[in-house]
Formats: sequence, structure tokens, C-alpha cells
Amino acid sequence: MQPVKLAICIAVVAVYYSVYLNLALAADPEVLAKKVLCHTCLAKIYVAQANVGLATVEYQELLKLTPNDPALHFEYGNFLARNNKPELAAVQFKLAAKLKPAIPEYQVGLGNALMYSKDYNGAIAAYTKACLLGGKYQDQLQKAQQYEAQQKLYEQYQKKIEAQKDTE
Amino acid sequence: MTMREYNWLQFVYLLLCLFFFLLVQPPQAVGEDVGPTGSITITRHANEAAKAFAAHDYGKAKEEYRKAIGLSPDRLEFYYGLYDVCVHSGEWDQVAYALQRIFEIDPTKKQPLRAQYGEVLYHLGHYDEAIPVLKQALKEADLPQPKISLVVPAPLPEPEKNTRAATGPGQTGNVGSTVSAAIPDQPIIPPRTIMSAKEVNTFGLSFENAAHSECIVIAEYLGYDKNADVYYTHPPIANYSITKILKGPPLNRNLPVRYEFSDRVNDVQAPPGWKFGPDKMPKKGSSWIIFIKNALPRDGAFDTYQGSYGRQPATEENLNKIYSLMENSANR
Repeated sequence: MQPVKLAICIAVVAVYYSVYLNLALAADPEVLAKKVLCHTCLAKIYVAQANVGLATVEYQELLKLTPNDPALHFEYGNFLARNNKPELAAVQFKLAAKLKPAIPEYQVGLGNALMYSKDYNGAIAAYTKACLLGGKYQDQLQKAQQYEAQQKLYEQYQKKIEAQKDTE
Repeated sequence: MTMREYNWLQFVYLLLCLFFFLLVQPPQAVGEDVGPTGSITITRHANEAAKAFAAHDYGKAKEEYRKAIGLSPDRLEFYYGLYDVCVHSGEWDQVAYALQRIFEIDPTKKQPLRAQYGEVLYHLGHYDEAIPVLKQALKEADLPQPKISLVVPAPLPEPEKNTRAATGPGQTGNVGSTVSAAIPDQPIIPPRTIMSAKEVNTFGLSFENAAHSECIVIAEYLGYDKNADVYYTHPPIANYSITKILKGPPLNRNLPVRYEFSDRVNDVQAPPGWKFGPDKMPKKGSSWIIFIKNALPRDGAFDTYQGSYGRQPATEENLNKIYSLMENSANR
């Protein structure tokens, strides 16, 4: 029984020490800044080399280090949007807009991502916010409204066809 | 001698004593402070640089640091200052130069500044070199290491005025050491050969001396900036593309060079009837060895070693010479 207790004690101390060390290092602003610098450069290099997989890894590492950085969410969102992942991009733009709601560009990013995801209602809301914040995005808003109207017409048309099929 | 004459003589004697007392005082007594650099001029440049940086005048700050570095090339603080200024102004080749000099002066700084070096390589577009450096920096980030802050040093104590009176005209160097320099009892004069005036003038025009330049590159000539305002003493800016860096910091591939027509020894004045034309420039695509004395551009272009001498055709013979000189210097 004694060796088991001893082993548990050693394990607890080791875990405690490792957690303490990690917290202490994570709290050190210089270490954090250095890691952010390295991951940022690596991410940009991989983006330039069109290495999407490794760039994604680097962005995720950056998000772990600075989860409350709206600019980083925005940049990652743009990266995802450029690589045909509008749904994932919309999540990042939403986070950026939530962290800093007064920036119209974040709202426009969200609007664009939602347009590509065919969520025209959401896009209209985002573009409207961007316009209210002082951005000149009336064209995008108008286009989103047209798309939404067209979608509604299409849905009505589909319903009509289904109703016709049912009567037949 | 009357009492009145005696008093008068005593007064004159006192005045003379006071005069000689003041005469033998060291320059510090005049109220002069050479600052921690040990030199009034260097301290002044460092202060000017720090002030210019604070005022966001990065061009001036860089120039002042450059001057301070020229006078005291082994002081780390000035390279830190140059680093910080050039990071702000986005002159990454200068940042690379500053970091490289820091590593040369104190190799222990390599580890704590690895991330910054990786950043420089990224900005210079050397991705393949940057990736391993950045990964290594990430590995080392968690290791305990000495704190280094890359911030511009605060202004040094301002030297007092009246320095010229104390040191004499033209003497602006290290005043403290001049005063306290020990004079040996029996000076040993090394034997030396006397050079003729011509030899003295042309002494610098050799590969042995050119090889001491901060930066030596092999570059291809691309062309020059068309500008009507070109004279013998106002040379055009020639554009080269670096094909190989033999020595010095990882400069940007595009190398603007001030294309001087004189080697600063012979033909300092324009020869009679000299007129600029494309025939005065080299053939496009030709390969050259470029010696750059200071790897810092001036007004957007690099100055070559001894003007036109710093551009040598990259012939087999010249390349052999330079490689052998560099090999010898590495094996020394």
C-alpha cells in the first residue's frame, strides 16, 4: 500500500509542478510575445507558400495564445474565406465582431462569409450594422437584399410546385 | 618698497597663482561630462538618436545611431537602438545588420534574440531559412533565459557646453582617455617604412583593403534610374540584383548602388569633355563584385568602397582573389 501512496503523491506533485510551470510561463508577457511573434511569422510564411494545412495549425496555435484578439480572428476569418471555408470564416468574423463591435470591416467580413454560406438574412443584418457604423457598404447590402428577395420567391415557387403535385 | 607697492605685488602674485591653477586643471573641471560612453561626441549622437526616435523621426534617429556606431562600433546599445528604429521604419535589411552585429559582439544574445532574427528573415523573404529559426525559437521560448529588452536606450546624461575650449579645436574624441593616458617612460617605436605620397593615396585601392568592407556581394547589373540630373560628381543610382552574398547581412536582392565615376583618389574632378551617357554604364546583365563599406544605405542607395573601385568585374581572377582573402581571414 505504501509504494502506491508514494507514487500517487509523486504524480500529484509532478502534475501540480507542471501546471504551475505552464501557468507561470504563460503569464510571462515576454514569453507570450515571443511565441506570438514566431507563430505569426510562421503563419504568414505558410500563407505565402499556400500551405493551407500548416497555416491553419499556426493560426490555431495563435488563437490558443491570444483568444481575445479580434484582429487575429478577423485575419484567420479572411484566410478561411480565401480557402473556400465560408462557414468556418463566418464563425471567426462573428467572434471578431463580438470582441470589437464598433469596427465595420468585421461586420462586412461576416456579411461576405454569410453571403457565400447563402444565409442572406444574416448577411443583411451584418451589412446593415456595417453601414450604421459608418462604412460605405450600401452596394453589398442592396445585393444581399436582392438575393434574399430572390430566395423568398424561389421558396414560394417550390411550395407552389409541391402543392400542385399534392393536388395531382 | 612702500606698503602700497607691497600690497599691489601681492595681488598680482595671487592673480598669477589663480591663472596657473586654472591652467593645469583637467578638462572635467570645466564642468564637462563625457557620459557613460566616455566621449562627448558619441553621447551627443546617442542622445540625438533617442530624442529623434521619441519624436518618431526614424530617419534622423537611424542616422544618429549610424554615426554613434561609426565612432564606437562595439557598443551593443547602439545596435539595439538601430534595431528598434529600423523595425519601426520597416527597413528590415538594416534590422538584419543590427542583429548580426549584436551576435558578433555578444554571441550569447543569439538564443534570446532568435525569434527576432526569424522575423527579420521572414520580412526579407528568406522563408526557408526563417522556418527552422522560428521553430527553434519556439522550442527555446519556454526555457528560462535572461531578459533582454529591445528598446531604444534612454538619453544619456547631456554633456556640458564649453567642451571645445577645454579640448582644443578639432579634438572631439574620447577626452577622458586623452587626459589620463599613461605615457611610457621609454616609448618603443616600431620600425616602419616610409610611404610616398602617391602610395599613401592609392593604399586603399587594393582587394586586401576592400575585403574589410562590411558587405561583399556578387550582383548582376540591371540598369540605372533615368535622371537628367547626372554629373560626374552627382552619380546616378544603378540597380543590381544580388546573386550571392559573400560577406555581410542578408540584404534585399534588389541593390541600389550610387554609381560613382571616381575612385576618390584618381580623377576626383571630371575629366575635360566628360559627359554622362549610357556608354558610361556597364553592360546590362554583367556580373560584378560589389564592396559596400557600410551596409547602411544613404538616401536610398548604398555607397561602394572607394567609389568606382568598389565595383569590380566578377571575373575568375577577381573572384579567386576575393575568395582566397576571405578564406585566409577565416583561417586566421
